Amino acid sequence: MKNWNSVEEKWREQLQNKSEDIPEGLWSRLEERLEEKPTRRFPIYWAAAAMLLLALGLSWNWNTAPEEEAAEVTHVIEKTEVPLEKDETPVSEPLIVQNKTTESTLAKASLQPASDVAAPIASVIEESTKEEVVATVPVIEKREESPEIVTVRLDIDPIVEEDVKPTFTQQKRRKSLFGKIVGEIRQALDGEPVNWQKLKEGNPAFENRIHTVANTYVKTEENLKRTLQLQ
Amino acid sequence: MNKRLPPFTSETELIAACRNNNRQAQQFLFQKMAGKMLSVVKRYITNTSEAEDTLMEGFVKVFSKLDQYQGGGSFEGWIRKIMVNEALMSIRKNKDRFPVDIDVAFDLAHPDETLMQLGLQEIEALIATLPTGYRTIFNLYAIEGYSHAEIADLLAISEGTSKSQLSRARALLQNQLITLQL
Repeated sequence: MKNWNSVEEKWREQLQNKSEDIPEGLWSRLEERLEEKPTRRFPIYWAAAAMLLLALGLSWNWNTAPEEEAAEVTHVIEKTEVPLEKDETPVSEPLIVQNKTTESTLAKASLQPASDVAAPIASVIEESTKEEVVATVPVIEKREESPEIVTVRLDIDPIVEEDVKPTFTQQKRRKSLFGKIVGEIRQALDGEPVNWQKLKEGNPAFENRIHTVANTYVKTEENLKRTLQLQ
Repeated sequence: MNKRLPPFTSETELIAACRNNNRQAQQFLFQKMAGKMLSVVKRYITNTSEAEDTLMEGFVKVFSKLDQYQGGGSFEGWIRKIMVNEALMSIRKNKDRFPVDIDVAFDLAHPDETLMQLGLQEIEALIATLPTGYRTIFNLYAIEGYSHAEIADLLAISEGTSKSQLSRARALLQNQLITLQL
């Protein structure tokens, strides 16, 4: 008595070399397909690259990088014309690119003792309107090593670090996101369905923070109610 | 198709020319293999026009992935695998569901003696009567020679499901034999 394996083996042998008639024009269609292949692939790579850049940009925007803060300070330095109040010793200064005419003046000023330095530096900053602050990285790095560098920053920029505000776009972005969250939470408290996924869209980092933000909001509201009751 | 093509003395030479995007070599390979491969594809996809589209897509893949062929096994076997994969993809695309997980195997009696006497066309007609899911597993196991583990991997099902579906396919074939009066 035969079993299924032997039946299938026989069928396999028979079907193995079976060949169908190929309809006319199939090669032409394939040829066309082969011609168009490279042109169709090209934009896919570009799209992938664009997506990657977008994702990187979004994550970079969301996380407040220390470099951004440094750039903000640089911006303040560029504009400042406020007279210097404190007379502590400047140890380092921002890296400044300027015209040859003002270079020597600045070099002199930086080498002078603490008591004499304040006025010349202020005057140099005032007179050199064309100068550009390239980077304040050395200032930040040295600040960590010695407390003297912190005083240099205060000399140049009387504005306290806490006052340095994030850029307009960042502030706006956070406000709008926060506004959305508050709106959704209010909706949830009112007993209406909330689409949390919609809030998370395009913000991978936000996914981890949404619960923290929501908890903070609820706690704040509870604290406020408690305070009002006590009063 | 009537154009005379330059003969390629060896398979290696033909493959090398195809890799260099030589259209004549590609056409030669197509003419040499298309008939057999269409037969393979048609065992999975019964609709002729869909089968031809799948064959075409399969050849596009063959030419674009020719660099991956190491030359270890049979070249025809390599092309056949691409065609089978392409056919499975086409079945998925058309939302013909593969079998759901049922791990109950059929206790099947010995096959009817008539099954051994069937001709080529009758075998094809009999297999074509099976529903897509059973037919796919039967073709993969019985005709292409895949193992249950490989089928499970290909179709994202369990090995048990593959075995039980094969038993069902065999039972159905036996029943169809009576129905079709072959």
